[in-house]
Amino acid sequence: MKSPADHPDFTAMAIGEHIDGTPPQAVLDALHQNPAARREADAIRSTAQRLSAALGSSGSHSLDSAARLAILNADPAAVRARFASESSSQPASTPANTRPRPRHDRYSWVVPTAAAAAVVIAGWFFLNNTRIRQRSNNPSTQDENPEPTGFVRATPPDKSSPTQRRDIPRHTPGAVTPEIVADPAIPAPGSSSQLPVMPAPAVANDDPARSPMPQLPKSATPPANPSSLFAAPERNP
Amino acid sequence: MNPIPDPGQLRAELVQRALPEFERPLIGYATSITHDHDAARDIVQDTFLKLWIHEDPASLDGPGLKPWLYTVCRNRSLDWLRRRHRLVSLDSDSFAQFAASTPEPAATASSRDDAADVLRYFQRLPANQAECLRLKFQHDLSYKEIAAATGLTVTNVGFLIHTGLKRLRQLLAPPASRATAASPLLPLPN
Repeated sequence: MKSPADHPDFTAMAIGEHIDGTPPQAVLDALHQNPAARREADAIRSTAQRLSAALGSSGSHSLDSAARLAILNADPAAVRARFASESSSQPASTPANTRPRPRHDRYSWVVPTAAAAAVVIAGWFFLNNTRIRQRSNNPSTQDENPEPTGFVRATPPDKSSPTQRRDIPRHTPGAVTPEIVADPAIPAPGSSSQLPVMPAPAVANDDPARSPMPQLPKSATPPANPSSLFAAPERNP
Repeated sequence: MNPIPDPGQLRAELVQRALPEFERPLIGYATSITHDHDAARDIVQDTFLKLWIHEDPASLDGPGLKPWLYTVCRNRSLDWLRRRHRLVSLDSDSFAQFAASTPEPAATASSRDDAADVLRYFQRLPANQAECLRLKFQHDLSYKEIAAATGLTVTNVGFLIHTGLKRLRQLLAPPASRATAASPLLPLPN
């Protein structure tokens, strides 16, 4: 809790001043009855006197005689004209249209632009909500175009392209599921029969047209000297 | 039947009366804001020239003249600061040179040291507190006149002066008492 000496009224009364209004009774009582409060008031007064002595009662500098004469013999009309021109003068020497705009003016386009964007977005949402509400209220319109509005598909699906659309059968209630006919070649799951062995393809490397390598005659015995196979053909005389 | 005084003549009388009385204090006040003696002289000259073109000089013929002069001087000092784009720097040289200009040839060394201490701690105060204290204890303005000159309320002025004096007392207190005053609720050592 603050003591009465901590009140501005106490300081004001200690230095002989008075703030408007009645000071709190606690301040008056403390100042008149409490010895500690009186000592406090004396300390405040002492500090004020030291400050007054340090600051000095007045300045030592004065106007020169020419300035004093100018003040005493001033012409009110000239003085009025001087202050009027001073108040209306522009501080910058540059013309008004080339003067840099102040900072708050430089970004003045932001608020109108943002407001316009907000209006456009709000209008778009309002129109869409109105159309949705109309469709929900009018089922015939809903049957005509079951696709909900508000969602715009970027490109229509290409039904002819297999990559665009996959014909995945969907299970719809009431639809007839086609019967699956068992293949006799495929054993039923769980049966102990072995898998059918596929016949090995007949690999015949006897076609000379298929092999780039020279082929040996089948019936002939291999020559003793294999290099004779690559001998040059004899020329006719 | 009292003749209605001529406003021009009343202005001339006001200027002749106010110039010797408020010339030096106003220069001191303007210097404390601008930290420039030449600028302070120009500002005070303009302040007295403004008195020549006052609309209702009769309203200043009395106790209203002093706060009006300080108000005009303060506003023109702040205008000068704005024009110069200068921040108020607490340059100790010009500040102390002007603020400690009390002509006291017989002052003792201890009192000079005390004044220097007070000024050094005074410079640590916030600007609004220092301005109110200066107007009160250097220029002898009342709380109401300070409020009129600075545009604050009287209650606000009282609070600023109270806070500034309290802070100054704490700074000027001896270190031992300052330590006990700063931490009165510290538990005593066993």
